[in-house]
Formats: sequence, C-alpha cells, structure tokens
Amino acid sequence: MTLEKMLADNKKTIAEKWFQSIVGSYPQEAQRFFLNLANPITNPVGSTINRGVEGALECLLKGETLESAEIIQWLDDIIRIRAVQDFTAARAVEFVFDLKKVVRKTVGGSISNSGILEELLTFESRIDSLALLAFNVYMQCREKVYELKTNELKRSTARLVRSACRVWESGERCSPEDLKLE
Amino acid sequence: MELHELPKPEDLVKDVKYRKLPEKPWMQEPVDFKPGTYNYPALAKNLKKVHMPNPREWHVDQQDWHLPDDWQEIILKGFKDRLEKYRSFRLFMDICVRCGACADKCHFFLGGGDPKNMPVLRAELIRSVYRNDFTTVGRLLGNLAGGRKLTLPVLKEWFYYFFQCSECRRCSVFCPYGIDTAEVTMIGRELLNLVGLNINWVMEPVANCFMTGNHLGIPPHGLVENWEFMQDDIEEITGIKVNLPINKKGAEILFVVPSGDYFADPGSYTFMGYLAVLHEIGLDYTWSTYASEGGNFGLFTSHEMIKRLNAKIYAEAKRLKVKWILGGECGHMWRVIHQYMDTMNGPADFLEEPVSPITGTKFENAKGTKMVHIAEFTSDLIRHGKLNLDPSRNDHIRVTYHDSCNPARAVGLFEEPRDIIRTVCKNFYEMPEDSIREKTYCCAGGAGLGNDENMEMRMRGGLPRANAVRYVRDQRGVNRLLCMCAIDRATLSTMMEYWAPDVSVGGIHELVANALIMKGEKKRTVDFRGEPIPGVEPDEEEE
Repeated sequence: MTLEKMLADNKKTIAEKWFQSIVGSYPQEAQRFFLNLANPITNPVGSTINRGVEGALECLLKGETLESAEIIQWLDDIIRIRAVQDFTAARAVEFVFDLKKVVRKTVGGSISNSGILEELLTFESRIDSLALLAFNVYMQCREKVYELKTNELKRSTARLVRSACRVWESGERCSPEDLKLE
Repeated sequence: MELHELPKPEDLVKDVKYRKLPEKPWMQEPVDFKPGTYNYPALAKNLKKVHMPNPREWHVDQQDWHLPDDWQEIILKGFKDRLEKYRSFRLFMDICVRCGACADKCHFFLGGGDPKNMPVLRAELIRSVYRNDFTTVGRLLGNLAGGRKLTLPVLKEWFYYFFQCSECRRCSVFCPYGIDTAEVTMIGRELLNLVGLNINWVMEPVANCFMTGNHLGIPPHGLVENWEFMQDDIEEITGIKVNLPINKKGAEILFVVPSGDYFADPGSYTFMGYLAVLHEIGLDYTWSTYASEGGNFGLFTSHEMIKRLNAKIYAEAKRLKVKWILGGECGHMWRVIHQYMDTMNGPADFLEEPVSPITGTKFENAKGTKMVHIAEFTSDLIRHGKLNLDPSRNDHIRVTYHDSCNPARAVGLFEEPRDIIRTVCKNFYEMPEDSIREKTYCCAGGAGLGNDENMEMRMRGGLPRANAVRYVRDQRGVNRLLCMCAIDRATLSTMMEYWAPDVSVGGIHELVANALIMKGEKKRTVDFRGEPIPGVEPDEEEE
C-alpha cells in the first residue's frame, strides 16, 4: 500500500473533514448553515468552500504541479471569500495547513513503514508550497479590494470627466477667475 | 431488516451531536469596529443643513462619540413616541417568536457569517431594550425575560448593525408573521438620528437633495449641461438630435429619474436610453431641474425626512401643470412612491389618472399616486407594437436580470422588465429561482451602505447575488447583468469586478435604445456605450 493509494481511498473523508475544519473557523451559530450543502445558491459560502476543497484536493492527489491554473482557481474561490470576511491574513489562509492535520488524522494510523512516512513528508511539503501560493492569492484579492475603490470612484465621475475634456477640447475654456473655488 | 440488525440505542446516541451554546451570550459581546465594515459618520455641515440634532465631528473608532449627556432619555422617549405612533412597530416588537425562518435569509449573514446579521438577532438588538423598558415582564425580570438596559455598548451595537442592513426586505418575505425587519431597521436608525448618530453617505445626499433637489447637489445649469452632453452622445451614435424638454410648463408628463445615472457609468447609458425612447415616440414630457432626483435617502433617515424630500415631486408637477408623472429605473425611489408618497404628500388630486398618450392604456395601478414606472410604460409600448426594434443589435450581449429589491419586493414589478428584456435581446437567461423575483438577493449597497469605506462588508453581502450571477455566467455565458436601480448599477459593477469579472452591469433602457430603430437614424455601428457592434462594419466614408 502506498500513501497515494491510501489518500485516494480516503479522498472523500479527507475532503469532508477538511471542509468541516474550515467551516469551524466561522462563528458557531453560522456553522450549521454553512454545513448545509443542499442548495449552492442559498449557501454560497459553504458550497463554494466545499467545491474548492474537493477540487484542490483532487489536483493535489493527481500530482499536478502546484502552479497549475486549476489548483490556483480552486484556492482563489475559497480565499476570495475569506479575504473580505472577518479574518486576519494568517487566519484567512490557515486552512491550507489544516489539510496536514486532516491527512494525519485520517491515514496516520495506517502508516506502518518508513517508506510511507517519507511519502507523507513529501506530500506535506507540497501542502506547504500550496500555502505559499495561498498567500499570493490572498494578496491579489486584497489588492483587488483597494482597486475596487479607485475604479468605483472613476466610474462615478466618468461623465463629468468626459464632459470636462470635451469643453477643454472645444476651446470654450473657463478663465482662471471662473475656476476660483469658494 | 431483521430485528437483530437494527441499530442499538447506544449506537444511535453516538452520532448525536448536541449543539453547544456559544461561550458568551450574544448580549455580552461588544462590537469590534473593524475598518472596511462600518460607515463614516455624517459631517456636521450636512446635519446642520437639514436641522438634525447634535451636529459635531466624531469618529467611529474613538471611544467618545460626543453624545448629549441625556442621550438615554432622548432615545427612550423617541422609542416610546414611535411605539405609540406606529402600531406596526409595536407589533414587530411583540410578535416575533424567534422561529428562525429569517435567520439564513440576509445576504450579510450568508456572506459573512456574523450571527448578529441574522434578521431575527438584528431586530433582537432593539427588541431587548423594548422588553427591558416597555414591557411589564421585562421591567420585573430584566435579563431573565430577554431584556437589557440601553447602555453605550448597546447603542454602538445598534449603530454598527442598523447600518449593516440594506433594508432590502428579503427576510420579511420568509417571516410567517409578516414582520418587516427593514422597518425595524428604519426605526432603529430614526432613534440613532435623535442623538446625532448617522452616516455621511446617507446625510450628504439628504442635505444635497434638500438644498438643490438631487443627491449630487448639482445646480440647474449643471444639470442642463450634463443632459445636453448626453444628447450630443446620442447624436454621435444615432445621428439624431433627441428632444430635451426641460422645465416645460404645460407638458403632459413630468419625468423623474435617479440622479445616480447623470454622471456615473454605466447608469448614464440608461439615461441616454430614456432620452432615445421618449424622443422616438414623440412624448410630450418634461425634465425638471428641481424634481431632479427620484431617489430619497430620507427613507434611510426618518419618516419625516422621506416626506420632506419627496414633496418636491408633486410640487413640481403642480408648478409645471402636467397631467401625470413618469418615473425612471430607480430602486428605493419606488418604495417611497408606492408606499408613502400618496399618504405623505398626497392626495395628488390636481393630477389625472395616468393614461399613455401613445397607446391609450390606463394605468389603473397608479390611480392613487399618479406616477407610472417606466418599465410599465415601455412594456405597454412594446405590447402595442409602438417601438420599431432590432434585437439583433444586442446579439453580442448575453443577459441575466437582477430583480432590484424595491421594484421587486415593494412594488411587485416582475413581469414588465422581463417582457422588455425578452423583446430587445435574444439571449436572456434567468438566475436560479431562489435568487430572483421576490427572493432576489440585494446588491448590499442600498440604504446608504454603498460607500467605499464599507467595501469589505459590501463584498460579503454581495456574495449571494454574485454567486448566482457566476452560475449563469459559467452555465450560459452571461456577460451582462441588467437591473432596474441606479444604486445597483453603481454597486453591482464593483461587485462583479470582484466576484464575476467578465460580467458588466447595465439598465434595461440602455438595451431598448440599442435595439430601437429610430426614424432617420444613421447606420448604427456602435451601441449606446460607444462600443462597436460585432459584425457591423462602419461605412467607408465614416472611417
């Protein structure tokens, strides 16, 4: 038995436990709502995180390179939500490390020889690398939030600026006295 | 199954997970004001303009909010007055049985997970004070009866959470008792206003509206210039110089729209859409530089302020001697018109029951207010074949429709916008059922919350709406989110940029104008955004 086989056999359990541990980071009263996956439209946080967890785990187990667009997209789905919620940066991406605990808890008892232990350490270092990517994604989301503010302001005055430009181009310019502010 | 195969009681008990109670009761959890989740206070100059109490400089993140010494008495007196004045408010305080039907219906709760954003708990913030001070059981038993004293942390909690409710009323759809939690928020905000706790994104539009007639504070000549620029833009696109009747006495109809569409993209394209359609049908109407705002942030301040700001619409209709009033694609404006205007500033007995001069349709639903929604008006034009349309001009747009909260839940406008969209665009895809019509999710920017300091909270609250948009984007290739509200057009654009980047936002009349074949128009090579229509090449001389 290899670790790869053990993880593949327990994929569903690992995904479930990983999902539950992420939901565990939310206030207690919200958890039962986020755990109910019956309708993805009425539970966007729970269902998106669940999909993200399953997708990211699948990519990890397939042995995809960590820079693959697919795995980053799954991470992005989860982190985009947590980046605007009540979490510090560390808490927002902490869930990636939770996967280590989940894996150890699920298959740790069955690890009987040093060969598999070595495989586990290799797998865990992949999770560490994934966590580094998670920081990238988190930063992109946070930068986006600040960009949103700038873009919103630009849109809200778009026509004013266009009008001013048109007046400028038409040559009907104001005299400096007209521009004096109150 | 054989009897011996049945699980034993101890096996069953093993899987029972008793829900633990939270470590600290909710009443003892003070608010943590984190940047990005609260709104900046109203500036003193804006409060002074509308004679609101306690104008001063203060900051949410500072300990001292500079409240009057007798703030508790002021609020409790205000509370008592409102319990006597609004029977609905007393009922809403009394009849909630905390069944939890509303608990997971608020977009802020669904996107953020803060239990105090469950509508039941948000209302409980104020209901607990009601029990403590206004019920016998509460007076005798206090905390045991679910009551609590009005202390400074409680007041701060009110400020935080009543400005985290966008008054969208989704929760009220699910309440078996018909409790309108938005009205609880409205009263909560009224009480906060009594001691000078308001937010600038509400009070600045209120003050501007009071002084100049519109939220942006644009004086009449500024409005005319702006509208003329849009007229020029339409001429560039269509070759037609559309009518722009302003303050025209004796016109048949007064047209009132939200000012949010004057300067901001993509709202401005909707405004240009109105101009094109109303020109094409030759409507005898007028714009007003005084009733230059349909929106009414009084709705987010107090009932008195709703009335003060709304009064200009009938006053202007009277001055200009019109027969009836037409209203544009705005959200909360329609809640005010539909539910308050008639009784607050009516009866509008100097106006006539609206009849479309183009089709002869009598808008009986508007008999009281004498004000018709443009979606009703345009869908009636379409139904009577009065618009010459080429929907293929919108073939590059794949749309879905966001029922803007107030036109949907407060007015019940579900079919008219859909009728119009289906006629002017071939590619229309509905979002999943739980996110449309009366169950529509809010943009999270209504009720004065659409400001940039509150961005994180808006993104959380907008997640349920954006999630449904993403669904149709991924499944159906949707690239345009239509809505019928100026605040939506502004805030959903930001929302999409974060959650569903390939989806743009716009109003319905922009698409109508794209499809509208105007008499004498030149070959259309660009749409109302000035973007090229795919597959249509400009003529050589134009190049």
